Amino acid sequence: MTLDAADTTYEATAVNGTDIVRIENLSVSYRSGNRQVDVLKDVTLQLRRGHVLGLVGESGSGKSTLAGALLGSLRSTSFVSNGSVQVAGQDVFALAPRELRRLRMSEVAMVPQNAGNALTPTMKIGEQIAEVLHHLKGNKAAQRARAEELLRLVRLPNPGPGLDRYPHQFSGGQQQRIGIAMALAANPSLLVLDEPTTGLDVVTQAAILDLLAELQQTLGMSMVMVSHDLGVIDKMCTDIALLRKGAVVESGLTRSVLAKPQHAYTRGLIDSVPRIDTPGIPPGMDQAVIDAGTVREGAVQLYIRTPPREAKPVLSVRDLTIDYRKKPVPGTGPTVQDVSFEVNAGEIVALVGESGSGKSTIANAIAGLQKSEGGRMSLAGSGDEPANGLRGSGNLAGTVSSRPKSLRQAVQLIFQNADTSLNPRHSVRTAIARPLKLFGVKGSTVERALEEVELPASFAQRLPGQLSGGQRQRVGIARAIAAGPSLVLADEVVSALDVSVQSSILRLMDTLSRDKDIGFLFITHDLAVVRSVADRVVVLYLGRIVEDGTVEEIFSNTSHPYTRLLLDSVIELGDDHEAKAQGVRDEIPDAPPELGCPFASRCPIVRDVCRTVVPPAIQVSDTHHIKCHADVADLRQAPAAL
Amino acid sequence: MVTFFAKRLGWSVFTVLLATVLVFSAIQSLPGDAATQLLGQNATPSAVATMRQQLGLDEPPVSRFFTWLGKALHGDFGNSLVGGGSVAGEVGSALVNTSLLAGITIVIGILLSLVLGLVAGLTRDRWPDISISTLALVGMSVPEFVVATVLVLLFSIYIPIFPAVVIAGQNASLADLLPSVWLPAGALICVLAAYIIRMMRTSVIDVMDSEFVRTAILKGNSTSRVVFKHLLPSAMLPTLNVIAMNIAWLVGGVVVVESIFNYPGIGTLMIRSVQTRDLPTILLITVMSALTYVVCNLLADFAAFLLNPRLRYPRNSK
Repeated sequence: MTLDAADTTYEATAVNGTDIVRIENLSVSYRSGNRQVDVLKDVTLQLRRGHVLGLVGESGSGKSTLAGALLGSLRSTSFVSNGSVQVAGQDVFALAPRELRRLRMSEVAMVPQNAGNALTPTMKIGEQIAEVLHHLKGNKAAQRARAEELLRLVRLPNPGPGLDRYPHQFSGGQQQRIGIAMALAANPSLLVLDEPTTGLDVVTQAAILDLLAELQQTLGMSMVMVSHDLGVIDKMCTDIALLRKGAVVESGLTRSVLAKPQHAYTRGLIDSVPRIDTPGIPPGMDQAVIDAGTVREGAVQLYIRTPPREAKPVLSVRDLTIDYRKKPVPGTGPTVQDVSFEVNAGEIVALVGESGSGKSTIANAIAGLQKSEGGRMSLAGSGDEPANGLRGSGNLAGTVSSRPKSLRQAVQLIFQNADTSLNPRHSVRTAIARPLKLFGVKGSTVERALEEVELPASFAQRLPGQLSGGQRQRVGIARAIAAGPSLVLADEVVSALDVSVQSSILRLMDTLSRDKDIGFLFITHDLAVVRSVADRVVVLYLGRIVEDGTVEEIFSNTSHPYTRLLLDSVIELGDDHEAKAQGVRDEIPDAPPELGCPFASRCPIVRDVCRTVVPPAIQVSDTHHIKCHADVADLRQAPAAL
Repeated sequence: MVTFFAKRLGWSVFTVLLATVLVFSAIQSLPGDAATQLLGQNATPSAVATMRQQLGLDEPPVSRFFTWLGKALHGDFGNSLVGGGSVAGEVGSALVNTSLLAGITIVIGILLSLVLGLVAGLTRDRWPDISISTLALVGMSVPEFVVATVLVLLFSIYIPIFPAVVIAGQNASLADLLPSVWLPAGALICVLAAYIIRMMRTSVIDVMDSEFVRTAILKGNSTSRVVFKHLLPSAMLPTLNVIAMNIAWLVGGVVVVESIFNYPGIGTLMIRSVQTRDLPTILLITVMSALTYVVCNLLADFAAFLLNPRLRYPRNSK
């Protein structure tokens, strides 16, 4: 695989020996029995100093292996079967252990995917940063000063006292900042970032990426960034390489590759990303078409969902209040307060907000896994109850142990990680047969349930470990649907999946909601997914509803300042990233305020009244409400949040 | 932190008290009592009744328990039914002897097994791991009396460097005991180490696979720094409780090993007291074992507290 030949400037400089990375014909394999399995196949790539290379691919494409190879690190069972990796002129895999250590100390550093797991839990962060400061060895005071400087550089609040804290005392976004500071401590000429923002919500992600872009500019670093998110790659990277099944299928300058993809895989990936400005579910990726190599021409065919015609409420939540505090803490309010919304039969309602906004807490209360302090929740089985009388109705105030069986049957859950929510030792049949047996569901079988989620009946014999991520999520859905519920709580069900699989799961949710009249409460932080599949949206901030409306209304130009912040933080392919750069955004506070509007501390159009009085609900339309002290006119013209 | 330990301490006191009650009632439910035991089978009922009165055995068990407890709290555990001397003194001197044996076993055994477990974990599936794991498996499966016999055969018969049995009696000084403590200690270490090695190995392997150890390696740290600063504190945590349980097990394990070597410790005393139905002595020894269990677990909790910052600084106390 060679570089984009059309781009002559790129070729010319590559020859001049200013490459920080040169990967030549690299193959990495492991042995499975007598077979040699290739993780990477004949990869050839270069990166100029000061440039940023994006490695894009789906799970299993080998992109993380490639990133590890830049630091001379492979899984213990893998080995280089061919080719070489040169970083800063040194052949990484030919280095003696001592020299490899020196390379990692000075030339190349890694920012891990999940800093929460990558920081040693038993060491103070100051010490973890200081141990990278080899040039200041022995000088404790200088190390401390430099570590504090680095934490200030990544804009960690209170960097001085922060040095003496342990990783678990920071939020996810802060941990990621610490991970970046730690990598920068060695003054590397190459920074390798493995999905640096994947676990973070949109607002934190935008802040971290802005920080990285700025650091890259000021320090003149080269970076290699692994991501499955084309929007992030488009924003951050000058160069791009797409990996599929261990091989580079296309590479070149990001702008030109993404604007005019030459390979069917690139085209397919771009097409399967849902967008916040366009309604509709994108098509899934057809692997057979990609293998055939036909690049699609013309516009993408989006599937537009039709919301149910009449409103028959299934779930009704009124003034729900949940309090995690054991005793009242001055200046803070309950975790969740006065939350009211409905989910109608056959409707998909999205519950959106940053991490810490209380989405999962509310879902747990509805599921009966979390005690609520106030308000009413009820499930309506009114109207045309199915003939078999399976659907329950009643009061959802109690926890599961106090709910009658019919009610437990009527509310089902689908989890984010299908791999951890399925017992690895139980076959698919056992997993799906359980609700059928427990609730005495008549007229359905495991095979039927599998058919409904478009899996072959033969899958019943398999164990979860023998399924792909998307298939496991289908089994998770089949298990929930098999009970015959009237309400399904779907918690981040597509966020762990590749985009190509994501759309097919969204289509499945759409089909099931219409065919079976099931109401879905869809919990997610991914606004593009919300736009593609939801009928109505409830926006939460610190456990309070700030806005609710139909999907068009939420994505229209009249929004609560918080919704605006969320929308502005979304990074998409083809955005004008320079114009969108926002600078620093402070993080979500630990606890909601006792008085006034929850968003007051971050709101760009805050007034005095916001800090003392709970904002009224502005009725923009019959279905669209915004809780704000400002006028509708102000919200329409509201500037982007800072 | 203070509340954490106050709570743990409170529970510990409660546990020991509960154990005492259970042991006391168990002894009560045995057929016969101290009076029949002292006077023998041919005693007349009236003599037994008089004896009972003398010993205060005619009172109801509950009041007898509190009388015993009251005295015990002042250090008076009654007199031995066999020797007639104070139980506290007898158990005390046996305890000192056992402490020497247990102390040597614990210090050498734990250090050795932590090092071997660490080496096995770090060299997973290579020859050092395979040989250590195999030895540990043997140590686990062979009972301690077999190990003890083999040790005697090797080190006092084929290569006579250690005495096979302890000749010094109950009142032997520590200097008398020192040469003969090594074989029983060796037998105990073999069994003790096996469990700790296996736990430590598993735990080291788990932590080696963690992302933070990989990150520490990719930061260019030396292997020793990765192992001692990054890996060891986390790998020690799950091992602590196994260590605590094994130390507590020693109290039971010494019974067999001590009697094989005729070592004048708590185990030998225990067996003798059971044979002679010396109830006050049995009672005190059992209470002491309960105390050992509780103290070991308390120490393990304290060590976990020192090793784990998540316990020392809970998330929300910023």
